[in-house]
Amino acid sequence: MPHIDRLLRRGTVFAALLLVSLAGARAQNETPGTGAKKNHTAYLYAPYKWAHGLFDIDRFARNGLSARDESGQQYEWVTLVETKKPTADAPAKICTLTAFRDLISKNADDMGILVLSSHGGKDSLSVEAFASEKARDDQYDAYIRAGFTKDQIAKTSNDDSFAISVTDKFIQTYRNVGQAIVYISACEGGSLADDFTDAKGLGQPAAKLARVALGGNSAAKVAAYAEYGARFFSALDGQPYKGKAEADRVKQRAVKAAFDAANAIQGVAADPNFRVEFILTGDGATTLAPVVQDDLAPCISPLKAGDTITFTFDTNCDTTVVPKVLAAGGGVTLGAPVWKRGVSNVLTVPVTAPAVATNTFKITLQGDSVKAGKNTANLDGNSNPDKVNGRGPATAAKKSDDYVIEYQNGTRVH
Amino acid sequence: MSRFALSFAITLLLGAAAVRSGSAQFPPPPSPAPVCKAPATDPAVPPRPEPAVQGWLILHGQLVPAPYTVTVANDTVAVNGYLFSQRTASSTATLDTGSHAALFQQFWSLWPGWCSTRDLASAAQQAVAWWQAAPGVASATLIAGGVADLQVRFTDSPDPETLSLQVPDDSPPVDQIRAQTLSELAQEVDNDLSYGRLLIVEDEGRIFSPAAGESADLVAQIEQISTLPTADARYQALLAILPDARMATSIAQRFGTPLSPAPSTSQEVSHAPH
Repeated sequence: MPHIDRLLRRGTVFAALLLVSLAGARAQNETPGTGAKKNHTAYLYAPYKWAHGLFDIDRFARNGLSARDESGQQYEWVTLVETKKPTADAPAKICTLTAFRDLISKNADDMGILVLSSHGGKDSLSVEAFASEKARDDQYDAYIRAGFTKDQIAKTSNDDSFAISVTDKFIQTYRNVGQAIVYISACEGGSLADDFTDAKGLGQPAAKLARVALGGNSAAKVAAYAEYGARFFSALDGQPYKGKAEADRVKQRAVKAAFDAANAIQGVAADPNFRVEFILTGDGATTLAPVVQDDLAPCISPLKAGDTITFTFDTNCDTTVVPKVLAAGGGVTLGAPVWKRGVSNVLTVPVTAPAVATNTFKITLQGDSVKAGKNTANLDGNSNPDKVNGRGPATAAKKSDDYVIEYQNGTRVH
Repeated sequence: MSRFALSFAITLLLGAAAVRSGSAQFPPPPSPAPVCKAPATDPAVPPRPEPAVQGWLILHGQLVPAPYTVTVANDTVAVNGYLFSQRTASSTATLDTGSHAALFQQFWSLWPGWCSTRDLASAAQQAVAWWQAAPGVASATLIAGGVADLQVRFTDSPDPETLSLQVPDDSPPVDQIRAQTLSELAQEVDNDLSYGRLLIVEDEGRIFSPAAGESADLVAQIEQISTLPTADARYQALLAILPDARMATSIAQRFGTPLSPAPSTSQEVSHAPH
């Protein structure tokens, strides 16, 4: 937007307002969460890890979401994974129906993302695997006696085991996921997506629903689902997966954009067994953490008193928290940052010195001082990795990923 | 295998082989792929920093003292000899497999062959015909609106059975997957503990790892909470800082209690605290 740059350099109020207006209009993303709780934990539920092995989605999800030094949006990470094939002597002990019920009903304050990896069918997801038909039937009867109903749970089987599956009615009854992102890596998992996001006339508060949910719309190989997950979660983390264009990297950090990009590639895979398309319900304008939109950053050099530095984020932020912005070099000093009224993603910072313009300076927006509007995520800046914006790892405690604007002799070097 | 599938398989194998050098004692990865370079999932990821500080392990509610040595032993992951999962003694009792088990076994053995010679929809139709002809079957139909969900009703059961007719994977045998899983998990645990992370482990499949930088504070909070006088008070306080109620329960009951000696890894059954 060179014309806006020129106008801004002249310091016209009109141009500044125009830029802010355009930027604000693009700010519809939110992180998961209700705005009242942490909602910063990723939960993985995988009852068939013992069968899927390296084809399961767990590593790809964690790389994009969680606590890695080199990547990930720094969400806390909890696994409920069945690592051993159930036997008559040792039935499933982690991934059981009651554990699944508790998972989706008792973690609303912490849940930011729920990743489900299993077998599935239309309005059905396998949550507990069994060694035999008899063991499954006995446990099914026990669950019915315990109060679960036959429209909530079903007897199913797949090429790995017998199973008890939950239905759409089960999800609608027990859902309490705190406006999380729900990702269902299972055949036809997408048929349950709306059961996480839509009220369905049941009168439950919005905080019990998911903000967005997506899942498969096919019955492809498990490995194909893992590939889809690798694309999707690397996109949420801003990673350049398999040659993705740099210009797309930051834009595809939002769920809907990542979903569209993955569908566009994998939905048309030449091998039909690797062809996977997902369906999405809810609000796909969802990111894991805020990012400064580089493409909206005006050229701010030279800088002088009276200018305004504008940071436009791709995600709405907590505007009750005033971020810390530091200046160094060129005699630059700054006034107090101010959130623009009416939107939650535009931060302006007045420049109070020098009187004579300078073209060598460094502005640092501290990553740990920029908070997401809906959960406790912090900025994913351009300092970690160095000089790469919006790519994981995001800011974590004691490990800030600041956003830096540095000019030397009029050339932006950071 | 298509080029697309081949590419992804290579990605998986390289990712599995990405082992950071360290003190852990792992069995060699069962994958036949050579260990030759960094994860292929994203070659643009910067190199991993050098190990910084020792992490913390809370296993079954108890703090295991550092330094840590991660191994695979007794068919589970062990740290300093403490096993993540208990091994279950095998029974000689005859398994009652169920009244239709033989039919299911026969069907699932046929299914991959059908999928290898026709597309999913055609294979599903073959499955319907097969089940309709099977003894003791009242009906077999594809569920309307589903991609490949086959519902079978038996004459002797009031509950229907739904079969998920997914395209079969070319998965290795379960034993090989098990070895891969343990090796991969041991690497992850060693990685986390070598980079100053807290791991709270209830079982090899139930693990909590906080975000980077939060571990030291979280350990300090847990230690502080462990001084509260009652288990219930400790549980409530822990629940406020941990995202898993079961872990909060274990820590409330066991944190600070003396750790039993680590079991010999040659033992069949672990006596790790549980």
